Amino acid sequence: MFVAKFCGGMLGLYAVIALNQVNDRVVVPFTEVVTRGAAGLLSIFESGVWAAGTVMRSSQFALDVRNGCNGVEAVILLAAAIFAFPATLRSRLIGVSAASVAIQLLNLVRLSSLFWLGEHYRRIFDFFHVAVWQSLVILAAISIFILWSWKFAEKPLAESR
Amino acid sequence: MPKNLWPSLAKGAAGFLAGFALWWALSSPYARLLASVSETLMRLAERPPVTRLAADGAELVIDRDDFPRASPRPGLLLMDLTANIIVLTTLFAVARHPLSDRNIAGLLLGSLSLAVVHVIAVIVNVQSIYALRLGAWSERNYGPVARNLWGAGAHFYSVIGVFGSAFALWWLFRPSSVENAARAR
Repeated sequence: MFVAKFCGGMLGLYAVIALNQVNDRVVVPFTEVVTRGAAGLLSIFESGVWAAGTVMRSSQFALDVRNGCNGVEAVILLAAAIFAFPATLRSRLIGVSAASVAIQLLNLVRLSSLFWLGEHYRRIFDFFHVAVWQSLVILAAISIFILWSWKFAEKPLAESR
Repeated sequence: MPKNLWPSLAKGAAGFLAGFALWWALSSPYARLLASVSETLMRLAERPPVTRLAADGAELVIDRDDFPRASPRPGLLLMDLTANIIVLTTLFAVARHPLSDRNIAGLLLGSLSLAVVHVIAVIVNVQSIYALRLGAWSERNYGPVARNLWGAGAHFYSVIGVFGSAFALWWLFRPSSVENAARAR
């Protein structure tokens, strides 16, 4: 039952963000904020990094933050899992809100480090982009979900399927 | 909730590295297997059967008998589609007894199911390339509904489905859920 609700939640939330209007008015502006945040974070450690729209730039490298890299996909996965899980509405809302902030903070670290890798170690950029960071962000989302379910709904975790 | 998270983190890190090594080492032979199975299934649905998929390292080269000889062949990066095996192995590794028979059986069942997901993902991605990326040929052979359907399917998998499927399969095949199902019976 949990898996059916989870898959339904993923499809439903994906359908919402896939709408052109939602993408243009919500997702893209949000991605621009994320890009500015990541550029700002990296600026603490090195100068000459700036953001223009969804693109992080320096004199040596540019990174376009697209859908799939803005952390929204991890938040959708997490929200679908939390809403599929038996718990009160209040604990679900707290879970989704707190987890979304945590995922986005982790995503800022991910984007900054990927940009730094692209600047200095271009050969391993793709490898870290596809295999390492994507998996880590999703695993972080799943870990947050499991911790949330232990904290708020320990009994239903053992019983749900 | 466990008092000490360090053992789980250590097991998760070991599972992550094991999954990563597996994914990396087997990428070429797995690409050949995916090419062969996906091509067979696609040709079964085609009249006449024209699709040919060939693995080139970890990439899939897409060819059709009716493509002009001189035109370049589109490719599909398989590593993006199959990286979810790393998430699956990590999740099974954090089990209380990662090397127990039940956990290993769950991992094997989950991996087999994930391979089925990969075949479906390859077929959807090849169809989305046919429907959207071949210019006038795409518009001639695919209507607006089909173009949207295949495009959205490929996009959904690449953005959310790739990791959502790994999580769902772990949830289904993790030992505690199997125990609960047995208890319910």
